[in-house]
Amino acid sequence: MGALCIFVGCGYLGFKVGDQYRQRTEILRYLQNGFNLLETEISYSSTPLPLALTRIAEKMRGLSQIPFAHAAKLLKHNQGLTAAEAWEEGVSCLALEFPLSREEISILVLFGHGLGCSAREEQMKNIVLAREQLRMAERAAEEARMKNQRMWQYMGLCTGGIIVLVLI
Amino acid sequence: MNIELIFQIAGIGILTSIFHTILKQAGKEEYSVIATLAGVSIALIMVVKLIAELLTSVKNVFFLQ
Repeated sequence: MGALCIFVGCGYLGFKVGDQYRQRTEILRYLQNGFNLLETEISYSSTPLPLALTRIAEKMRGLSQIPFAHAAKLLKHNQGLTAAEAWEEGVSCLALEFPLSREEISILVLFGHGLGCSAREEQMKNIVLAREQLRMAERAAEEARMKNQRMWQYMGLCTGGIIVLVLI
Repeated sequence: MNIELIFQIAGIGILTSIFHTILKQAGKEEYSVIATLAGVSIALIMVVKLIAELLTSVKNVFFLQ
């Protein structure tokens, strides 16, 4: 019974670590979709930023909606907070929920600096730049996933097996 | 002769070889060497008592004490 518990526990840990790689690519992909939606909201319907962010957050799934939802909430309720600050808060909220790399956080934070305080064309350029950077980060994350996900899954199971064998 | 120990060591060998292959496929050669070394050391720790017994009996057989 104990052996089974150790084996399953180690396997679960391995799968959990491996799953983080999948989640990272998923979050980066959804964030790109979110930026696409934001581009549409800004360029075609000129929606005010809090409303646009709320709409995007409603359309998104999972962890990737956190920065949009949090920034929209802050912009609605906290008077005197700039869009960049609200977005940064949202990004740090996401970073608390999921271990993003420093590079990914800096891409998102830099994107926030141009948000809501410049002309429409400038914001478009900013969104395109951030999306391109996110695409590159996603590609890197995908490569890391291909390499490491299966490795962590097998490692968890094998470590469990070895511990069980040593303890028997 | 404790036959369970042989099966244990065989199991550790199989799992270590899987470790080695997986780490090598992931491009982490240095870790795969470390994993193999760890597997060998675990197996050695398990048999070290038996080796000591073997050496003692060899000494006894050849009157080296």
